[in-house]
Amino acid sequence: MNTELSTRLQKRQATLRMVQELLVTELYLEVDPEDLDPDAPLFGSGHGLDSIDAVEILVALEGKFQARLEGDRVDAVRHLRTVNTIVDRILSEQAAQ
Amino acid sequence: MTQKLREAVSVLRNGVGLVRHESLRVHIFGESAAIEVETRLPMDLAIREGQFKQGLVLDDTGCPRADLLAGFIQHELFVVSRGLDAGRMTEALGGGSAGDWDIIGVEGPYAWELMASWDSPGIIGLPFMGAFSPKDGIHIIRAGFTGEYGYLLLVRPELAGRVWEELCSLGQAFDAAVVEQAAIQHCSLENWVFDPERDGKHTLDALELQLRWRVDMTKATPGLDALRAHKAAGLRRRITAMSAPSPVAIGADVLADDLLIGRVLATAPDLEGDTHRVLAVLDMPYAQPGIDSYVVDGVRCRTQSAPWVLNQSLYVNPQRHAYARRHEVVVPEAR
Repeated sequence: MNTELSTRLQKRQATLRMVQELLVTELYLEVDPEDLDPDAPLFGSGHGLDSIDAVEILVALEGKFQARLEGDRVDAVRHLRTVNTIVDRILSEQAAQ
Repeated sequence: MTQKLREAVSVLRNGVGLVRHESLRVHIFGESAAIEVETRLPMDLAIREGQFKQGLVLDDTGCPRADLLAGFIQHELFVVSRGLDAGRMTEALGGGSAGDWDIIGVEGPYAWELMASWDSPGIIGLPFMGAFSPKDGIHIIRAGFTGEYGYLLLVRPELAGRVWEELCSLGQAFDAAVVEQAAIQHCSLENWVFDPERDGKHTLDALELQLRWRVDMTKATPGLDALRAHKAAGLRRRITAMSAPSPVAIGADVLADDLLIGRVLATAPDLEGDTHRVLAVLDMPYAQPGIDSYVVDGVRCRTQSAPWVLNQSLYVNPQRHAYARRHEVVVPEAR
């Protein structure tokens, strides 16, 4: 694996792990962090979170990553769909800083 | 993609699609029999009346063989499944038999509006995975396979023809169209919805298919020992969403720096035909979105977060919107 690809994958994996741990901790989920399938829906089906959890997630992510995910509702719906879409947003914010 | 399929997918993504689900099975159990069924399914059935839950039937290796919805209506356990024929499903559930029901699907960002005109506006308040019985011989579950608003109507065969005609007739106000299973399957892939016909034929278990959320790992039902062992050993591969600028073949190798890292499981073009959705299984270090250097069939592809589409249903609010004023709904670009 070339160095550039390795670096990108490691950064992505590290951020994914931090988000999984944050969700489990902040939402008191009774699963191991790695059990949060990265592409499973967070709300409705999938991990079954609700709108109260969404607020908790936004606050926690801002505290942990200084990432403002909410923007407006249109953006929040897009960025909070899965663990992976949250990671996308965090990495995008970090790249823009 | 044929023009007919393109039109059907467009209906499901922008209006209302009506479908007869010929391949879904319904098994029904009394309350006492439900306790026995729970000992056979890898899911917790401690759910309240009128609430459904998504689950799986696993084989001994932890690979899903059927997709199911289970829940209680009028104190009976209803199991709606696809992937196994009636006999094998009966065997998996330890009894019962496939009930005699027709199943009608109503899906699309304005499915709720058609259902409200068919039944009553109160149906708009039915929560996702909720169920109720509006009339004798008819049960409605708010669930679907396309990522849009969806309803499954379980209808006694003697009523099914009339219900279907009523929905088709009322649906004209919403430009509703009858769609075939191919359109449902296309949308299902785009929305990362597990399809046992598509995903179950590969030797991938529930962890590799990112279906961990559908199983209760504390239970002792078939397949869970294998999943626990797999988890303890560490996951070696996982399904991942990719996009390709041109068609790629199912079964094609996925390469990173000429190293084989996975293979293509399924693929479908987007509505415009500009890009192709590619469902692949990749070795774990590589199974991450945001990488644009993997190669399939000589074409550079990009991994991405699933699903591939940003559903209009996420932005349609039944309290404020209506099909007649659909131009008021703002849906951003998917990426």
